[in-house]
Amino acid sequence: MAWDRKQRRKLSDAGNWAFVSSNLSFLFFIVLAVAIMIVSRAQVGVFDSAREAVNDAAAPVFEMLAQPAGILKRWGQGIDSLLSVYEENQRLREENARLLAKQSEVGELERKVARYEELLKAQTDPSVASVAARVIADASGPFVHTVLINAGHNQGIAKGQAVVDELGLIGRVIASGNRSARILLLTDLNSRIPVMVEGVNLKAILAGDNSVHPALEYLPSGARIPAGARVVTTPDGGVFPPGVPVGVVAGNSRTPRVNLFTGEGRADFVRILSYTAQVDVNRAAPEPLPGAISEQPRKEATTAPPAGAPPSAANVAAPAVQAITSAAPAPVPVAKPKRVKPTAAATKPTVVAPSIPTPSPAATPPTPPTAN
Amino acid sequence: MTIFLQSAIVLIGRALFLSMPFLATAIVMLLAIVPIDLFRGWLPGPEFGVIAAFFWAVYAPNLFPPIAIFSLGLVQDFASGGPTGFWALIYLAVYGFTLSQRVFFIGRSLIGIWLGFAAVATISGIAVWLLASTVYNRWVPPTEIFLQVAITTLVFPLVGPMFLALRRAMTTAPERL
Repeated sequence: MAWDRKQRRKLSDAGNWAFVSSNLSFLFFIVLAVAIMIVSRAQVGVFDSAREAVNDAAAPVFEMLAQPAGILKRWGQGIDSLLSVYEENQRLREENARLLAKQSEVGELERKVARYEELLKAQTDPSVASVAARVIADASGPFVHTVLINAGHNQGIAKGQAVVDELGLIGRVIASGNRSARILLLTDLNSRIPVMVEGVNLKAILAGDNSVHPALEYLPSGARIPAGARVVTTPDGGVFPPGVPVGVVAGNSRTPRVNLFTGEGRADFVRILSYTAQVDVNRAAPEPLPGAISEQPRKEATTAPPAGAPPSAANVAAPAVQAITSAAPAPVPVAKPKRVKPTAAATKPTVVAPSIPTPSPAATPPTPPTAN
Repeated sequence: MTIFLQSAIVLIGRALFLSMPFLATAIVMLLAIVPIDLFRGWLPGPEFGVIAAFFWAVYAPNLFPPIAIFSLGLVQDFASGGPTGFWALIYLAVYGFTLSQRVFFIGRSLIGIWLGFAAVATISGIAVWLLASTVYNRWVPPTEIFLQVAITTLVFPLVGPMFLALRRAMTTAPERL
């Protein structure tokens, strides 16, 4: 205590800001932190490789710590369920009876659907491969909701893939290292997911806003969304497989919100879905207007597969779209025909046809993460 | 050769001794991001970096230089997936502010320090809110930020005495500074 008093007197004599102002290293690190922030905002992804390297290096430690944490978590859940074991048992009995009654009905419907698909020659959804992984770190803060999993490039994880637990969608991969990957949860401020409200067949964007109930945005004006309607993913944007359950509509407020199926707590284990859209929606563009003068072939045209090359999956699935795409310029939305300044190559003013209409909000691919 | 080896061991030992506050804080922060799901995902966890920045600025800034605070902030940025440099700047701001007001904290009881921390944590919460809103270019909902401030303030009496014990052990150790 005497030491403290002596120090206090010494500091009083020196003045409040004496230490800070004289400490050049402090000022240096403040400037460095500000510079890093500005650079990371100006050039998105500049620190991604460093971030992934740090996460990869720390992954074994997180993994080691996550195992006893998982046991503790299960004990906690066990105590919880012990307290409500009677009610839970009753509920499960009722649910079991209801599901048994539904089972035969579902089997019959499945056979019917398969028969109709065969008769109509309907194209079935491609099977979606998945990789299971453990959540090893949850460093979510007050405005960033992300978790780290113990699978990365080595296990086939790639940026943009959908992540589900046993109940439904929890988020998507925003960064992947070799042994670890970061998942942006649906509740994060930067999360934007294309979804569809079942029953009314309305497409919307599920937008996270740090609350536990993300909002449904970009719905058609005057759309009536019934409370309790199921919300599932759509393949719009070519990122998510169709029909992955997300949640149910919470209420009839002006901006409808969604009760996520995975709302209670966070998952221990997740599955990462590897889905490839049958049509490359990023490249798909409508046919240019007849008579319109197209732009000079851009760099994209030079990257087209050479003649005789084996057809890609997109070619096989949608040859018509691919044919349009190969001739179309880069998908930049153009509202009006635009006059281009004459160049040495083209002496006359060139009218560029509207290459692609402004995409509807529901068809907009999810916003790239701005968490960095 | 033997003298060289002995000097190296002494140097490494001293470096480890001096970095004990940093290592202790890093371990606490590491344990905080283990997915134990304490609040079932509904509430944000405490921000141990703010506690460390405040505590070491009051009790032993010589044991916790700005580079240590900056490194902890960067580690938190990388671990949380947030904007790079964000927590580094916030921790440094808390550290600098506390250092400037250190004269008011020295010699106070733990309750006094706790109240002081509550004030500093609230100011840091406002700074986090304003900075996050600037970075994301929209008003970030403040509820979770101030919930985290409250949780961090409640956790301070559990972590503070641990750091205090470490600081006492270091200042009474034979290798004391």
